[in-house]
Amino acid sequence: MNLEELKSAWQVFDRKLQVSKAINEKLILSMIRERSNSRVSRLKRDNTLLMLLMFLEFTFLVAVFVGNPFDFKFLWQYVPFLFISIGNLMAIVMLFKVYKILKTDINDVNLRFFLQNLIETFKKNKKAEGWFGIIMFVSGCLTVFSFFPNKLATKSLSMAVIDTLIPLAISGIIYWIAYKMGAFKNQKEMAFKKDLTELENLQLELQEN
Amino acid sequence: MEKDFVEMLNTHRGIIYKVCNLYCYNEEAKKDLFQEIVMQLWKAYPSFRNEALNTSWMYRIGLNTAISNLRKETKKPDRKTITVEEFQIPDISFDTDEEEKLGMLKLAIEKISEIEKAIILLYLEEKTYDEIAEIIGISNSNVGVRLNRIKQKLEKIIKSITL
Repeated sequence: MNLEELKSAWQVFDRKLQVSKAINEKLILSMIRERSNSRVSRLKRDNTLLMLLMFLEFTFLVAVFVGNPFDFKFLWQYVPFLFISIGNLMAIVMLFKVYKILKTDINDVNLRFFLQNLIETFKKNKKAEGWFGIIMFVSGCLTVFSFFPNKLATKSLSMAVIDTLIPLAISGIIYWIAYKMGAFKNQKEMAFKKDLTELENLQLELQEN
Repeated sequence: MEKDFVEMLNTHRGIIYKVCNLYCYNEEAKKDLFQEIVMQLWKAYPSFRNEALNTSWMYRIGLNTAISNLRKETKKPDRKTITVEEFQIPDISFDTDEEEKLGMLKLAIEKISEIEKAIILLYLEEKTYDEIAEIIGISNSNVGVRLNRIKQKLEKIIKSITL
């Protein structure tokens, strides 16, 4: 049996497909819905993981304040950690707000309403996200100085300064790489906006026809 | 615009079904790919102004989506497939003699590479070398050479199946 002989069988399949059920507009709408749904489930997972991470970080910070594992002698040494705690709490609040919306089953509500609501929340969070970024950057850089008195106790001034500047430079480079890689851009909002425009155009045309 | 789109999709829905059947082996994956192809077609539809044949355009997007989807498969996040009840992708069954032959052909096609699958699909659809070259993006002479190799390969596989 060669390929040419089998080619005729392909026509049988083709005929079978031609009599298959037609696809309707409802299906196309449902596909846009499904696609948003998959993005939402991805967002839900990311959100839960971030919340978990933030809670863990918060526990660590509480332990720093209570147990003083770094042997801080001055109260100012705790300031960067206080900043981190504030940023941490802000992130938890923001993530919780998004979580409340994501908890809604996309199949139970109007898709347009759902997308609008989500985009609105992203917009509201934008300002807080900016502050969160600044707080984390400043505290990330300042944390290095919290260890300066301890270094000064065991090293000469110049060595202590060098030992402080190296981690500071590393922190700066990490932030810069993260910025360049788009870590501070909210691409999720853009994707949902695209879905919403697509859906609105489709619905508008369905009404016109 | 969407009326024309749905009409075109219905007229040539067989193209998407065939691509789904050749590139996916279970119902879930087929529906997933179907959804992805329709989405890509819908996204590309505004820029499509009958510049090419409807079918060529659909094959190009369908095959590109199927191949890129397979490459992304490992890093793809969890996603739900279409839940619309009336939707069903017709499968290749093995009831009659012709369908048994078709099943054999499908089994053989499963063993070749993704690009080869695309070329053989277009060959089975009786597309000209020019059309295949345009859809796949290779030269006309390359189509002939590749097609001959694929045919030989497939015949070898079919022989081993029938033995």
